[in-house]
Amino acid sequence: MLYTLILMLSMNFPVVESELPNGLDVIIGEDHSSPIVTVCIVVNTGGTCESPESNGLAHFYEHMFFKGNVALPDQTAYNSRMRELGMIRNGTTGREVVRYYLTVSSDLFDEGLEFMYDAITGPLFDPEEIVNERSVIMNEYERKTNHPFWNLWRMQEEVLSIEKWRSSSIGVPEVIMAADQEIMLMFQEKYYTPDNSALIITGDVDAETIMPAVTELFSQWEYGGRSDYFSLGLNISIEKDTIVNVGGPEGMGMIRIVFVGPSMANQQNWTYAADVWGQYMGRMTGEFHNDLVANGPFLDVYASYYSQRFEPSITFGGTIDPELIDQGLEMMHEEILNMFREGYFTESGIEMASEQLRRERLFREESSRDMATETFPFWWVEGGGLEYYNNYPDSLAAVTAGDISLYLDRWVKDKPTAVFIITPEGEWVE
Amino acid sequence: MISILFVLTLLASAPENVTEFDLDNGIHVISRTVTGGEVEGLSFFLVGGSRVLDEANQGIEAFALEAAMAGSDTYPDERWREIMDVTLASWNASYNYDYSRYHLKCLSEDLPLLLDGFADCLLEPELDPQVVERVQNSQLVALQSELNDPDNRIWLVANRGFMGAGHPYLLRPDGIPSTLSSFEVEDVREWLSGRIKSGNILITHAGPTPPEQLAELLEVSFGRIPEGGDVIPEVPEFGIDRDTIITENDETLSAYCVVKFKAPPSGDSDLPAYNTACLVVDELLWQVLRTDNALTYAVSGGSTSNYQRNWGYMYISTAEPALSATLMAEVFGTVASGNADQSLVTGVANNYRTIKGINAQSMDTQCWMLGSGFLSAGDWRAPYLLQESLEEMTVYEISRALSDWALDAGWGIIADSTVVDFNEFEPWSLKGE
Repeated sequence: MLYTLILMLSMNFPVVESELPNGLDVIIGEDHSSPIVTVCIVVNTGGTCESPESNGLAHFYEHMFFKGNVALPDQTAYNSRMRELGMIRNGTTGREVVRYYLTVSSDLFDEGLEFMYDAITGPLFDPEEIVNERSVIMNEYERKTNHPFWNLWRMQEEVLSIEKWRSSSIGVPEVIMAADQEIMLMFQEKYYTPDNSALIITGDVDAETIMPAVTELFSQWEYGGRSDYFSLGLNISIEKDTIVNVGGPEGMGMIRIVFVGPSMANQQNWTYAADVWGQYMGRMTGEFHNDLVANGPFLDVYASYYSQRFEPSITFGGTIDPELIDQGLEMMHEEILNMFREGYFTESGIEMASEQLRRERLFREESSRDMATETFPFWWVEGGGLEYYNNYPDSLAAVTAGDISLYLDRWVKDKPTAVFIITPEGEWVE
Repeated sequence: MISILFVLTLLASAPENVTEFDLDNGIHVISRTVTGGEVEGLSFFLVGGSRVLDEANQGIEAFALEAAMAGSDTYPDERWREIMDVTLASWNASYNYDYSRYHLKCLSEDLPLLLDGFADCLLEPELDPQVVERVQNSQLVALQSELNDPDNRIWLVANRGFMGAGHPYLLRPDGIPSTLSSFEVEDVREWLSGRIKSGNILITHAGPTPPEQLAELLEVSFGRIPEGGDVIPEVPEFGIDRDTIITENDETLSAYCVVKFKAPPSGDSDLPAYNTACLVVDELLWQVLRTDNALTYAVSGGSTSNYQRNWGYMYISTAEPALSATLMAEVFGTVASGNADQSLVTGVANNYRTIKGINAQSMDTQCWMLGSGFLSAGDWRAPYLLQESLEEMTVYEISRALSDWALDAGWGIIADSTVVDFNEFEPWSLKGE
């Protein structure tokens, strides 16, 4: 059965959503401001679907995506086709989402769509290409180890994750170097199915005109029904107060205080208050900023909720002179306690935070390509469809000071924390 | 009186609805009207870059602008922060060899207030010592973090051999730790009063506000900026006169390698062919170094086109820098000798067409294109018209441009000397010898 739902008429461009009989969500946004079209496939998978034996292979799969396929087996011909189409393309693998996207001139939409269809449905996973790609990914891994926050990322996986391999998308060298065709096919069979994916198209197209071609082509993608994505468990736990001192770059001190947050999988009702709260705390004229930055030792601070299904977190953090870490940590704790004071959250401040979130949305909508490659994929996965994103403004507008207090009582008050101190002399260095 | 000159766009590749005008004090403004949205972009270009710096004050302009934008006499720190909270406007600064750019992104309804505050911060900065110190520390932290990463540092290593001693582009627009930490409030005030002059400034805009309204808003805000300006010295040629290599030891799992070579200056008729040649090099580097030989995750080639003095480059991160550099020089030779396939040249033109469409969706990028085209080639249309020249480019033209200009190679390598044999390193020639 095919149904169509009009979405988000308040946006800069109209968006329609449909579902094909094989379960594929199709989201089309019409933006005629520029003669290009972007096609994105988003899949409910990522590092969180891995085991110790497959740690890093969701990301490996992404590397194999823009390789030869059944329609274009030869890699040289494949690259040549991309040049013919003037295609700008990329793919990313996160903990909870994988996306692939390409942009072409709108007069080449049919060709771009077909290219994406062949890539998602007919990868070859040529064994020789897989062996080559192991070295490519190892270089990517080695580059990451130079990142100033590599030690912090690694330590966060150790401290916060129930199963640490589900937190690391890049994976571990021994698994990367053992990747083979068999495990790629296993990932494909389990997760790369239409009922576990969405096709997002934005740009200079007319939804009604292109829908028949989209339906005809992508209806051939075989229904799977084998994904376990939505049955995976939470992968964050902080049982007791923990503090770790991690090695970081010269001259920089950082503090991160982390709490477990509400999951986008089954605790969405908490998330609206969480987002308004984060925005409230981020105001440059708010108490949090005034006390810690304007009149305190921090160079910058933030307090935020990260909308995730499996590793949702609430973080208070900031950058500070490494010499002032102890003072900063004490002050940050005081500010957290301060939030529970009567009258800390004012209605005018909450109104401003909600208005900021509305404006943020307008800024994000400036580029329909960014919508196709970032905003829609993120919310489609985390919200379990676009309904969450669609209803988001109304839900935010309904948040009150009382809701924020309830949220803080439930998720922050007297809850165990994981504290990460990052200093040049940090004790923990991988 | 504001005189507005409406530009008729005769060539298909240049965008429509672009207007140029001058404020009474002489500040030139280029505005592209983009209807249908609510987002405005406005870029303030301060011309000079490294050319107005010296060894002791490199980084002063970046620091001065950041410090100034924290508040003014009319919009003191807390009031200015409140405006940021209410509008959710964002500022994006970049500092390069030829100019500084401070970009504002906001909704149309907030443009009048923000332009007034923007100009006020430049003319009457509050410069509260506590705030200035915080800006200074933030910049130092960002700089340290950048310099800690060999992926960023490798470009500076290559510069040392390529640019030659005393070249102004060796001066860092974002400063070095020793200069940045030495600046004081009075240095900032003095720098701003000397540099914020109409003759040093270009403003570009992209968004829904029509040019007549924009002109009025700018006249009451940026029209207050005093007349005058600096005499900005010409940039000398890069000093490289033979193949060179600079190495640096670092305990890093991946080695990094960059080579730079001369390119035509802005406005030179060879520049489009040269830029295309470097993009073809980029395609071939990916094919040879990554797809065929699996030597790297990140490899690229390209060239600058918006500076008075430009350069081409090739970059790679790899566990095998010597082998990679050998192959990079071979790839370069393939293009320079005219042996690249014409389909690669056509592919570059096709890609550029798509990129141009992507850029059109961002007001920020539009502002940058209008400004960089005007400042480097004297005409904002230059980046837009590049596509037309790309579509007619031949392998012969690109090989000639590359071989005529890219003579001596300045290599830089960062690697772990306990893992990689530094004796294998040599300045690989790009001249096909």
